Amino acid sequence: MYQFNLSATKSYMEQLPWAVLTTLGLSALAILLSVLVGLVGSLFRTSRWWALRFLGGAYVEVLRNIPLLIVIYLVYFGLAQIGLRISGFSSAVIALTLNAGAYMTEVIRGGLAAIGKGQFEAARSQAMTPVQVYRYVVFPQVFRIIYAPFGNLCIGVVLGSALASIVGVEDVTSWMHTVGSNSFRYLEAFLMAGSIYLVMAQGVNLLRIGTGKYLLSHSTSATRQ
Amino acid sequence: MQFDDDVTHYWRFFLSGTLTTLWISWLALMLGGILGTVVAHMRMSRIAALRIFALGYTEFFRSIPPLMLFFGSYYGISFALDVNLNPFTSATLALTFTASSLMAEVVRSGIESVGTGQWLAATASAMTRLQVFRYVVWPQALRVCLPPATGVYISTLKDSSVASVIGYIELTRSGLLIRETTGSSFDVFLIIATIYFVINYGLSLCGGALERRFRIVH
Amino acid sequence: MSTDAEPILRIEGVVKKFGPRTVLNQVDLTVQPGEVVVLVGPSGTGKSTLLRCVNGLEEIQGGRVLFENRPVVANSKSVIDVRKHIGMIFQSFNLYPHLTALGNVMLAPMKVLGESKSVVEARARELFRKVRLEHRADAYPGQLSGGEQQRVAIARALAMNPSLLLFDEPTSALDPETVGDVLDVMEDLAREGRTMMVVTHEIGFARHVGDRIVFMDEGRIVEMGAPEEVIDAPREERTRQFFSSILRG
Repeated sequence: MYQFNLSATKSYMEQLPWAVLTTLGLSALAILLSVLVGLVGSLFRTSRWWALRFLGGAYVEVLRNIPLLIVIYLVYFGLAQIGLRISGFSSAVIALTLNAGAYMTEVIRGGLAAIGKGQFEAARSQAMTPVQVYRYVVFPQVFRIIYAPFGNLCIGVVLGSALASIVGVEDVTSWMHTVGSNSFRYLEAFLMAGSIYLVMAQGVNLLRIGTGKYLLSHSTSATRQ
Repeated sequence: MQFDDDVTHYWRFFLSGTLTTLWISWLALMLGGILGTVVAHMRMSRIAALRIFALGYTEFFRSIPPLMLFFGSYYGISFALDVNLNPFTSATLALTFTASSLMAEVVRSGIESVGTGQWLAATASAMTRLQVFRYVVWPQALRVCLPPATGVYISTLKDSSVASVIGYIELTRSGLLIRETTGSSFDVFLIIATIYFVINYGLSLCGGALERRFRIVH
Repeated sequence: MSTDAEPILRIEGVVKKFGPRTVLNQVDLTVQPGEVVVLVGPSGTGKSTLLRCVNGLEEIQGGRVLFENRPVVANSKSVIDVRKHIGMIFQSFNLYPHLTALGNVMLAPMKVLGESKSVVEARARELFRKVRLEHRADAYPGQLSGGEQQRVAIARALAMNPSLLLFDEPTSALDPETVGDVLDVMEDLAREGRTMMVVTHEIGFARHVGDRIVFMDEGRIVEMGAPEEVIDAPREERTRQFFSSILRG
């Protein structure tokens, strides 16, 4: 039968921290950028101009219905064909950002809608410019509302980052595949890599739950008789 | 742009790739649905051990990238059990497990949506637990599950593109092969992206229509 | 109240439509400085909408609104300047939930008017004294009762030193016990000589505090005048119907 042997992977262990850092770095970068994309996207989708609303809606629908792998291929190979040769890492960041940005747009849009017209009106009636309205009144409230779906989105990005290994990025998944294939200890490599992703995903999950508890203690519901 | 060249010469490959994708995702949805239903009932079981297992099951498959599952079921099992699984079997396994964790949630919500009043009425007329499920709960839950099940199908269709990495010739892999032959990446992937979009967007509209229809009934 | 001074607000021939529905149909109204104008009438007849046209929250399709002789044009850059001098109090309070009561009152003077923190804070605390909420300044809106929230909302509006105050059904969402607290504050403001436009169903307040009652129905001003005239001895049949049905209950 199969001899389970973790020590066989020891020689590859020194590459693992770098792989983990790559995964985390790639994910963090994509999440940050996708928040910016989501902010712009949600403003598009709630704009007064039909053209912007359509563009925003089209972006969201297209990116949510196309597999992430295809987006990565489009960016990596597609751009190369036009003459833009970019690294696997950059392609993965762009693709992940575009993909997550679509979901982020919807999450932020939902959050904005949940805030209620009254807040906008109160702020505007106090002579705030649109920028001020968003900066001082709307966006501080949005996170409190959307932190849960936002957390799930972050997990999605971390798991999606695994596809970057296909275009050459040396992340946790590519580590597992290299180690497993070379040492023939695929199962062990799989378990280790799997545990790392599990820890990352559940870590974000715990953060999400913790954020919820913290916000609850602040008692910020607006109306109470 | 050699657009006409791609479409005219290779449309058969795009078509077969599309059909393969639709078929394997459907298979995974059906098998995953059965497995997910079992897990869902475990989740609602009175035995704590089953509940914990079911919870761990769903959390596990939501914390692992699909790519890992494909690698694991193709390379991992081959190395570990010294068998040579073909890409189709591996891909089906990986997709089935992924779909099952999603379906477990869908089925659980569906069953819970059937109000406790129904349970009380049924058990009051001396039905066993199994009979209540069979005649009262499942028929109603099935209707509630259809719209989100559409969503699971869409998700599985997208995940199936990763099967291309282990060599299974579905739509994405077909695209890669065509790309190698013609050398034009952008056009090929654009066509593939369009195919995925049309299918998935269409399905999401169906799902929305189903949801509206059932909302009126309830 | 001097009748020969420049009116602070001029509403001339204002027409407002929501799609095919005409909600305001040729409304003319002037408000003098220091006047307390109370708008009454059946629900949904455009009273709140009229208020919202005054500070440009609603666009008008006809006529014009002049505040201190400046036109109020919704969705324009100039309206922001106008809003610095108009304060609005909403039926559902609309306090900012992520800020304390003090934070709510201090936000706009600091960020919009650019005043320094110390000046604004001193004014805020004085306003809390005025609305009788000194010890609740550090509470969050979620921890305050409805009446307390509305008084904070009044303080928030006053913090900008407005020359006109708009009250949109300020007590309609309150428990009957707390309605009196808010009306008391509003009465204090009236006695100070503040210019106020109030949409309300509180006829007692209208009679007691109002300088002029305006009865609106179906988007038009049916009748207006001193409280004794409009409420007790109306000229128009519709006005009579409205007040008799209200006062009967």
